[in-house]
Amino acid sequence: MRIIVCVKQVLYTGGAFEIDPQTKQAYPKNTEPIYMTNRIDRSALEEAFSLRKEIGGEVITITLGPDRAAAVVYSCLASGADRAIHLISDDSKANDAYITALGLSRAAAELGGDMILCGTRSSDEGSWQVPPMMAELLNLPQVTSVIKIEVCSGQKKVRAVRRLERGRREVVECRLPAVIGVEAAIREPRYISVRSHLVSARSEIERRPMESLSKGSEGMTPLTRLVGFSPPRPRPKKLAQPDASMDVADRINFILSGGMAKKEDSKLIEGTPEKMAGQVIEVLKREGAIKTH
Amino acid sequence: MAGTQESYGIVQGYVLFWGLFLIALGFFARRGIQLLRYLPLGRRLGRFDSPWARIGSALSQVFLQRCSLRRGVSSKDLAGIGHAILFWGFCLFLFNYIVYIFIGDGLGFAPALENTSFTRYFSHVLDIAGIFIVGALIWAFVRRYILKPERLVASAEAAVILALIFILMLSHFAMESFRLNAMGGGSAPVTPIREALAGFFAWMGMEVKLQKSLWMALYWVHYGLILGFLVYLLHSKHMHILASPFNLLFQPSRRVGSFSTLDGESPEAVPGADIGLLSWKHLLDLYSCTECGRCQADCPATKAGTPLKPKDMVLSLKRYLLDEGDELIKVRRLGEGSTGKSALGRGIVGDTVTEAELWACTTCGVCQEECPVIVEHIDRIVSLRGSIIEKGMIFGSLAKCLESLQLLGNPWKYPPGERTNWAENLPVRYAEKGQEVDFVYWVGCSGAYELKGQEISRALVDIFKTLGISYAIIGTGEKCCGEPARRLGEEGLFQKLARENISTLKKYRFAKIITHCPHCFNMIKNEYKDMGGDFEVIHHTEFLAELVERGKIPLRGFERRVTFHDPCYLGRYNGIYDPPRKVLQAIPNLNLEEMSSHRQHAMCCGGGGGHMWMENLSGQRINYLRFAHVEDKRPEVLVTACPFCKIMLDDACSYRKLSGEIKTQDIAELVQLSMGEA
Repeated sequence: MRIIVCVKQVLYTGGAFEIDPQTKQAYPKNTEPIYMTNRIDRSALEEAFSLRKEIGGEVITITLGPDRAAAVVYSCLASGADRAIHLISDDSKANDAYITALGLSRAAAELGGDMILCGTRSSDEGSWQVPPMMAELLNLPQVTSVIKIEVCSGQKKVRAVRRLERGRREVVECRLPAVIGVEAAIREPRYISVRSHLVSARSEIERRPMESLSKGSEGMTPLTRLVGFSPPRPRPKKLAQPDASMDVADRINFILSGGMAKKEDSKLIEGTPEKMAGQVIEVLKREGAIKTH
Repeated sequence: MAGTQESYGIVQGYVLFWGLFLIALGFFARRGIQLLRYLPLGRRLGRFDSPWARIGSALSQVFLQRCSLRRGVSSKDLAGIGHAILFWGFCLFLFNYIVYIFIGDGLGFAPALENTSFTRYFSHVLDIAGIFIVGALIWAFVRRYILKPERLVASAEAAVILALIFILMLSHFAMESFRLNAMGGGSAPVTPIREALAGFFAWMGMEVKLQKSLWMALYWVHYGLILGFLVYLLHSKHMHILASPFNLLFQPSRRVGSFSTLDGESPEAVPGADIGLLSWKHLLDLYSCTECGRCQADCPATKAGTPLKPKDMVLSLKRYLLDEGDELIKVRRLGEGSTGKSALGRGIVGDTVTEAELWACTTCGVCQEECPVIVEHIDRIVSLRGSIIEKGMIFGSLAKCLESLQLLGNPWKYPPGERTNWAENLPVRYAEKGQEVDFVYWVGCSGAYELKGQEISRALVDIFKTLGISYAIIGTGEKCCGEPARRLGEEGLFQKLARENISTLKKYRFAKIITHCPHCFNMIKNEYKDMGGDFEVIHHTEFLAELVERGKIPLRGFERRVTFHDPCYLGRYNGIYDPPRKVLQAIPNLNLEEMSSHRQHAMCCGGGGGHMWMENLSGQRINYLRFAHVEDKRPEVLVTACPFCKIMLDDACSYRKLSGEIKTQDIAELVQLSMGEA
């Protein structure tokens, strides 16, 4: 089975950030930007390894990003991927989920995978859109928020458990090939030692500019444009301060038992996916969020 | 002069003597070669420096029995004295065998040796030694089989060895007494004991002819037992007789705290077979283990009921080496293509030694402090941990700690940019290129990020300010010293952090580094040298003690009942026990009471060896066990000199709901309070 995993390099978002008004990029305040592999993608990769161990096959990773994203490609090799491909893009285009999905899906189409695994979202942009967009572009079925994968029917189908809100689970059966967006809970990624990184840094990775894929630069215009960027407004919260002379266990109990969260009335839409989609569209039309022709 | 002079049927005594000897020697040599051949299965290790110092140290440890007499009279069981008696007695008897039996009887020099004054004198000495040996043996037998202290196993092998030596002694006395009666006072040496026994046998009415036959018989029994022992030696734990002097010859430069600098970069450095992770010295350790169990008796992980039992681990590995050694040599000859598991499919990590055992160690060093032959448990455990790390099969909080170190330069998952937040609004000076200061204050990750650690660093900079000390901190350029990485077996990560820190430190001009964290202190002082960083480092307790001695710190009365917990990395690793006590004793009205387990024998707080970042998977919590010692003393303040100890013991204090009564504070905090009391 050929499993393609999309692994993204993301910006580490811990600590204080300031925003450059011109480039509309966020930069950490006191240090150089730190880049890392998207944690959920690492879980996806680990799931791919588990499937490879179980049913055999190969795992190929694709990373779309600028030159600095090569580090992620090498670490995919270090963790055990059979092939790791670096799709080189420039920074500005990669911000748009559509361009990302376009590049990744063209590469995936070229490779011809049986299963395409992605993290459901990335920890820096967090658009949640790439897996569904890829599925549309590839004309493949999609299952998202997956926390368990079971390959069945002679590797022609997959049974996926989806994590829904409030602890509910949904089991979806889907034919392969498919695009599957996974959550971090699907599998804990293995640790990659520094030595493994150093060793993999000596191997060859495949580098392709995004434009070199089929259809070249055709259609590579972003569908969205970033117009603004502002830090969140801190909301003042009133917290009862526990007495410092109490011991830790009592202080925690104090904090946990104090303060009630306010619940707002929520309008829940229920029904079949088609019915729910129709109702959502009605709401959006009513609010003027979408243009009707 | 004895059996060799006789003839037995067609066989001459001489022939029998040397024939038996050659057979025994043959078995002995064959086994010895087999054992020696296994040693190169281990990786290389440089222990060939300062040969004369090493030889001198080994000789004095062995022949003065300093190895056994370390605890002296302060030990609970005086067993070391028993061993010393047996050893010195054994040396005298060995001399006797070589000179009188092999050279004397075997080579025919007996007549020349017989009537000398040396022989007369020596016989007395030998008999006294024999009495002492018998006494020590009885004592050993009573301890092991009747009193049964926990660390001693009532094994069959131990009984055989005790019985063997006992019979040798008895047969020696009986034999020499029969000889006296048979040969008359002429050629047989006379001692009071032999005379008495000979008199007894005569009084019993035994014929001289019978006594002569008994003498001959016992002579061969005695000889046979000696040869038998020679062969049995290398098949029992008594191989330590030959291995341990070499273990002491190749001992680490420090009793606790010597770690191998492994190759952190190349794939070849991670061998296919786990045996390649151990050095030849670790394998020699397996031969040198005397099975005394002192390591296990004081190990905190064992006390807490985890799967780790140091002695058992050594013996399992020894069993593995002896069982699989031949197979492993074959596999190695075939090359790295094979998995390194034997035909039986047994490897080390996961098979002979479980992962849980390897992670349970806190690297506290009690095992090495107690071991008479300095078996290097910690380095071995850390080397084997590397196997698990390189396979990537670590998860949970441990993986998060190491990933955080790789990405963010600290094990706490805090952003690197926040490393100096603790110093906000404090008049702290940052190191600048070109400016010279006396000290670089190495804050460490706990001192920078952890609440309880920040209390220490804030107290210390306040002390620096009051005393007008010239110092600077590195700031956000400071990274974790790498100690957790190294102890967890992630050698590559340690080396990366070490190199980065060393190059950062080399940018600045300063005389010494001062730090409040014993882990950082130990790491930068002792282990950065191999990575190219030779710095002078002092711990803040040494710094404060020196100032106190010179009367430079104005300390006001501070009335408290306190007890001091010795950090492993300050005490056992670096021998620093007195400076913190000097500081505490200099504070007027401070009443210091020692816990019963203190100084070299202080129990670990449970935070070392990467445990600060591990979930407690098995056994009790070591910090809770240690806190029971503190509770015994009920101090008002538990004084620590290590941020880990402070965190671990304060947590135990909360668990026991005693946070209101017992405060856990660092020495720096106490000194700051005492300086401020007006």
